[in-house]
Amino acid sequence: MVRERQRNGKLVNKIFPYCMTAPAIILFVLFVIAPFIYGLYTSFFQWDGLSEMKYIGTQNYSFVFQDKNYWSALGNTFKYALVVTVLKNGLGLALALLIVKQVRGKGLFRTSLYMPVTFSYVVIGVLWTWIYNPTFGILNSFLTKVGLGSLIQGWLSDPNVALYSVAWVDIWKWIGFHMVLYLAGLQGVPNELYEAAEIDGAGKFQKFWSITLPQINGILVVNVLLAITGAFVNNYNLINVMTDGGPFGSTEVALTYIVRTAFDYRNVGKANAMSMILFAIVLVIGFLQFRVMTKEDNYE
Amino acid sequence: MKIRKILALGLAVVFAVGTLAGCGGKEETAETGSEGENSGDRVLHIGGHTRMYPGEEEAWEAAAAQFEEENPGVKVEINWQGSFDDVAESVQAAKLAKETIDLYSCGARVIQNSLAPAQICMDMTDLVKPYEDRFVEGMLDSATVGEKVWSIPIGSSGTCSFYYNKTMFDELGLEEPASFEELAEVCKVIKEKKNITPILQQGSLATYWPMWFMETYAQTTGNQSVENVEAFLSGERTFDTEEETEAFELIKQFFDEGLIDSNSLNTDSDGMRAAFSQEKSAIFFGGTWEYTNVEEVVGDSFEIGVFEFPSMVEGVQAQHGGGCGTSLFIPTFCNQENMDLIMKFVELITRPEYAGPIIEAAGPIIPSIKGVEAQGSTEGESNFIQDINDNHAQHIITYLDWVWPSEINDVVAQAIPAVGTGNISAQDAVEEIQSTYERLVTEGYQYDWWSTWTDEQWETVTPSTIPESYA
Amino acid sequence: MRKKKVTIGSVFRWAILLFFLVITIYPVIWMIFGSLKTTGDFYTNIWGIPDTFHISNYIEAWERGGLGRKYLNSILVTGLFLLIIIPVNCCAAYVLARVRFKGRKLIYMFLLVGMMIPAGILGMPTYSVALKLGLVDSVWGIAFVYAGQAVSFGVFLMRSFYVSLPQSLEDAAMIDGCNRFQSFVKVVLPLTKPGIMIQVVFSGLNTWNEYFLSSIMLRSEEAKTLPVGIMTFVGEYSTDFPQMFAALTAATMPLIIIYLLAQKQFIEGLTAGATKG
Repeated sequence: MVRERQRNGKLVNKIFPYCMTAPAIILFVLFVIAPFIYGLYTSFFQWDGLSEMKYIGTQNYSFVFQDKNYWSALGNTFKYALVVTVLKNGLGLALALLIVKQVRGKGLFRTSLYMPVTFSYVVIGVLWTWIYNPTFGILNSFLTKVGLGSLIQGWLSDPNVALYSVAWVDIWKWIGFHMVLYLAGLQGVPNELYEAAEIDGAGKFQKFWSITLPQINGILVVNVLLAITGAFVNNYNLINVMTDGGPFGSTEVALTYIVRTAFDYRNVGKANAMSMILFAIVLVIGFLQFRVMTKEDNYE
Repeated sequence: MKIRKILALGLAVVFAVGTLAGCGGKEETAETGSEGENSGDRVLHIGGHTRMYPGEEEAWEAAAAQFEEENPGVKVEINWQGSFDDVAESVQAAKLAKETIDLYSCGARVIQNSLAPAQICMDMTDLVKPYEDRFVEGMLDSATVGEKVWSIPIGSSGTCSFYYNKTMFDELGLEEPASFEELAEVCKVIKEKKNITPILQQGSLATYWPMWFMETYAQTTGNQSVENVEAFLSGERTFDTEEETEAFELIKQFFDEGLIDSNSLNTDSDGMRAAFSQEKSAIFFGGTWEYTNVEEVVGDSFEIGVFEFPSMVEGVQAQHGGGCGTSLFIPTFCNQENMDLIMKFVELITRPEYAGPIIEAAGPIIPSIKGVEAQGSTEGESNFIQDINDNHAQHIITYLDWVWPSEINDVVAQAIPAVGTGNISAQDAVEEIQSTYERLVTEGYQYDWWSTWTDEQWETVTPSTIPESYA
Repeated sequence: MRKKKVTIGSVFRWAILLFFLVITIYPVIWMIFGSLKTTGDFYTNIWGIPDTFHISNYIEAWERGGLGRKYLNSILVTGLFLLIIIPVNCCAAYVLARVRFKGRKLIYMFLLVGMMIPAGILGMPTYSVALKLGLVDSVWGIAFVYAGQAVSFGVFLMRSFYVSLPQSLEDAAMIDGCNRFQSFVKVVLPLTKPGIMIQVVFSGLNTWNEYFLSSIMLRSEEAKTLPVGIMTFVGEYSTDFPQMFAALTAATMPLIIIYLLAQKQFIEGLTAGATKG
């Protein structure tokens, strides 16, 4: 009897994790992997999305390799991703550290900083293009008023500046989200650790480096990976409403070019080939980041 | 504990309402499914992107109601789906779902550039013959590709002109300029007296720049721009001759002489409207569709005037891009047995009394249907329409972006401000366009797609019966 | 000496916080102001208070966009979506974080790949799959599609919360006679409320605002959602901003209010995690 129950228990224990993950895997395979494989499949065809598909082997991939627009868009993507990832996390963590000990107004800050996340891209597009506007925008008039008129730029018209102007809006939108994540991590750090360190005479920076950072490592990895993947594969809407790739292609990133190729140029096969290349790049970067940043015990 | 209760309650509510809604939806689909099959009632399905103008939907519904009255036992089902920009995807989705759509209303450009080449549109050449004289002359030409008519224009033709603050011009004693020199002089005065950028363009929207190129190119080619572009796309001429470089150089003059500056690159059409209405700019170049929107913003603050793009090449007439923006086509996945109903509806919708309200909802500048009066809802608008019809309409040629593919259009769009602000030379620009064309050809682009269609492909787009005339 | 240092620090701190407060709160006010302006006012009085408060924008927008039914549908879609995704993700993330079993790493990496797939071009293929499964044109169907697309993020996020919990908590529960599942539900889940909250807010928002898929998947008038309704105000050449802002305000304000209300849960969750951890 006892033995049987134990065996039953063992069996249950064995299949338990698979039962728990099955629904997630099924949903994921149906609505992410299946469409993705379909996309991969169409990347071997010449197809406008409407008429018959024509098999052309790997030709779409060689078209992509010869298309310099795609490579310059990829270059922009890397620049954009670097700025966005560093600043979203740097500022998000800094703000979280600033308000973690704050008692008064904490809720207010947490809510208000989170608000841009709830904004529709249409509103964000109008708001920020108008803030940057040279004739009636508030940014330039603010800079003039505080005597920093020399800092005025062609925010969205100068090809050397526009990408960063757009990146700032992305940062502005997501900073509160990252801050909230960091807050959740910071509040989980036991106070005793800091107290012990203080007894050892550790300074602020030392405490941050040797206690805070290792303690929030898990949440740090989450934040950085979210920012990286967001900047590579999820930046279409924002750029579309702000500059749509201009001026002179200086804000064209891989994703905007891919969507343009699929929807405007009606070259679905080539667009999917570009997606696959972008996917491969992000996959490598994402897992490298994961390997480098994750502590072993957290990982397996 | 409390949370769990709230959760349970929420769950129950969501499920209950969901069941209701779910059932409603299912009943609906079952209904539409059976209606087509069961004899007795016949159904005509009309589709299109979501209507964009107040009163437009009602105008279609009125036409449908009249149609049902004239044809007892016929039901008209209308479904507006997706946005103006996503027409190709909406059509694709409907086709995949095996929905029946007998008539589809959308932009003319997507029909010519994407849908017709993909065998989505029925060849209407023979179908439309009995009704040809209902269209204003030339309107059917803009729906014709490869000598076949793919759709019928139900809308208004637009064109491009300069819009200006008439009150400010009067105050400064300025006249409408006819030549570039006069325009430059006008701008100089505005700049000195008002300290504003005279021309502020919606230049962050790349698509507006090719309209400038259409103007200058029409002049540098001696009014052969459309023919030249067709020859270029067919591979019969290259795009890097003097005529093209010159067309870019002419636009650069606007920048070089300070008529327009890089601030325009930072301005979209809303920003342009805002600046214009706040009198922070005095002139902009745009389409006829701008008028109503700008007038609404400007209100009574000042009067708006309009003048043609100036003549820049001696002895050559200025010409402006144009064409009827909205069209109605028969999808190849229509119910072919309904062809009689489809054409009866076409007959009804081309009557001025039913086409009129639809066209008027979008602003009747140059209506495509005879007998529809081009009349504005305000005095300013009426004057404007009069002006356009009297002075600009006869110089309209097909928009070049209806002729060349989107890839070329985007290169032109990016190149113009780049040349204007001195980032690249006109020579670089035309070479870029030429090399883009060559890349497209290696990727399988073909301008005269209709010339290599197989019999099977023609069969798909040819209606099985041509109903008698209902005119 | 020490006191002075603190003051400078706190002034600096307050300055930074106030700066961020202004640039995040003002846009909300701006949107509400915009929704109350006339079209002319909207373009000529861009940054200020409306000349007259044009409340009729809301009524007109509500009628023109047919927002009543769409609102209800959006609530349904988002509600169903959350009911699916939260248990599914929490279960998967929990075992991936805390149970050793064969294939664990593989499954985790597999699910993680979803975050690296470029968004935007999967729309039409997803539609094809949904069509084959008969999920098109129903609020139920689209909720499942959205759920599938939210798995990667949710599992990834929740796992990082579960991983950081000490093993001793669960051991104690198991000694008390709980099995694995019970200890998960009774002990672990309540401690990771912040994670669940973040998921609700983040994924819920994505679903609430999603436009493209809903515009092609929901085909009958009865099934359409808010983002589709909001597109009514976008024309080919111009957008009716005051009415659109009215619709957007109506669509966004409830979210902000819910977030404000949920704050309390949020804070409690966080402190509970901190003290017990």
